[in-house]
Amino acid sequence: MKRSINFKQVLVYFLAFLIVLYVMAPYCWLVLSSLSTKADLLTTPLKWIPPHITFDNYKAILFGGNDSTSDAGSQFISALKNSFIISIVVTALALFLGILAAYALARLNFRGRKPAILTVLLVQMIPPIALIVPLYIIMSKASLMNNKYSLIIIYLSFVLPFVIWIMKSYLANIPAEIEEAARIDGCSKLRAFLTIILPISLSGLAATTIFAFIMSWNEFFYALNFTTTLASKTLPVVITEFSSKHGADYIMTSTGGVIASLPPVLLAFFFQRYILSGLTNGAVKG
Amino acid sequence: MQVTNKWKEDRAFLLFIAPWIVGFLCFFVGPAMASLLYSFADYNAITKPIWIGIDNYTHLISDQVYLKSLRNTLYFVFIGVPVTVGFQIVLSLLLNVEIPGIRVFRTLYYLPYLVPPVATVIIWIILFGSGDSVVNSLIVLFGGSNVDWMGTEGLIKPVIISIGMWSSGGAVLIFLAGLKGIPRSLYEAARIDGSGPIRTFFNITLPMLTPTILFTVVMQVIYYFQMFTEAMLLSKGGPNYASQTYMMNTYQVSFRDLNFGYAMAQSWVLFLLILVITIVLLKSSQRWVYYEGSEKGGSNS
Repeated sequence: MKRSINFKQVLVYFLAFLIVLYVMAPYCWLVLSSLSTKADLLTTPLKWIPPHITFDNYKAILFGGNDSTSDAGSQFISALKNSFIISIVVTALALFLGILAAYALARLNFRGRKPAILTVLLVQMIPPIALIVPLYIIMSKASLMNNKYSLIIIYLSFVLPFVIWIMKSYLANIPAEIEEAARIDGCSKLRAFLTIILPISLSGLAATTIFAFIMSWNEFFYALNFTTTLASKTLPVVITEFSSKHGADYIMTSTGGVIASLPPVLLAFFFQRYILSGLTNGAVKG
Repeated sequence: MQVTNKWKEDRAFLLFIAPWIVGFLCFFVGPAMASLLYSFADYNAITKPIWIGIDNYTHLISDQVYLKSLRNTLYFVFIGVPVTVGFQIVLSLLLNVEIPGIRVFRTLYYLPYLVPPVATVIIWIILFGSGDSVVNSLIVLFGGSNVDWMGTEGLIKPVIISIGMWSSGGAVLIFLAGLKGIPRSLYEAARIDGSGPIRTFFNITLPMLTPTILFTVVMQVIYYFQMFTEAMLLSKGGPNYASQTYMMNTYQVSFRDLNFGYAMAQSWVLFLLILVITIVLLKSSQRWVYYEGSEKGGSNS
């Protein structure tokens, strides 16, 4: 018996190692390219480990003053700022508006509750390109083109339903008896929600926060079409330009890619222990 | 509870649904209706739209590039979705085994999900580029010869699906949550009955996982139908339109050809396709999805 368990463990470790290799190797390659010099990256045959490690690319992208790309530095920093502002505002607003709406959907009975939930799925199904021209017209009529507000509004239109959906099933799993007890003690519905339901749904909130942040942080399609100036361009757009406009600058693109992946990675790392428990208790049970 | 009192309390929450409803009407229903109208018009976004009836829709049948993009997308949906979801299930089963140190692995595997798609595509260009790319160098190392991954019609789609698989950590997370939700008592009962690991998987794990599978399949179907970033940046639709996805084609019809009416017609056909497949999946789910209890979980959409 004991021997078979050991064998099983070895097998699992081996498979897990293969997966880590599959998962990590591509990302490591991105990091390695960002640390390479241009000359080393272009030599043949391929160098498995770059002979010269340099942080110049990071310096160039963050502080400018490198000849490799015209004005990569200034573009990247403003895009980084835009991405942060947009993602944080969208996440905060979506969570604030979403959790209360989710609670209303999970607990209160009112007409139109079921169709309201179905619309969340509908929003996902319409291809963004179907909406882009009408949205474009609305944004230019409201003089919001090339301005962070247009992206914030558009992102909210799909992040908010997503937050409502996840939080609704999470809240529905919290036994109603818990708040009923508080209600008998004379708590109002709103107070019962704020003092009892909200604290015990923190792990669900943490998981939802990460998903909402990543959705807006990584969004590419609307950003590509709604931003043409530095005042509103987000990271994915600027990084893409490194690889297309300036003659396929892979080094700048990978450097930008590494930096762009850091906020979600740090966020996930920070909330790590909440993510799985948050999803286990709610989210997608049917 | 008195009616007035209940209304007073519920009002606070209905107030918080209002922003969503208003946003939904202004930024979703409104634009959707406008776009539906434009799909029956000749419209270039500069001059006034001209009503042409269903011409945009009938034109689709004879548009060879469109039909190829449709076929490519159906390939992605009918091959990409099962492969990706199967991979995710295997991955989550593996990560669900309780052995020392498995937590580290659980943290690592969703790293790709956090990498922006734009950066992921760059990784894939470095990995699968023609000539001395990483994958080719490995093949040469083991005595093979260079493969033109991006330039061969039959290879580009699997390469793109491998991106979808790589970055699917989010769904693995959901599967892991699903696995954690299976009551331990079921496994103990199975062990007492002498059921082996394979039978336990098919009789307990898989049926209990079906709600999660349904959810993930619907999400992946939508993802593959709307595939844009990866195909657009990796291979720009080539070679010979082999990686031209539906969304990409519609995007080019809009912003390259400025044929917005036609593009809207295409996007509504895409929506209908997604809608029909989703409805089929949801309807058929009554037969293959196992729900514990009647409405546990509350999410009965």
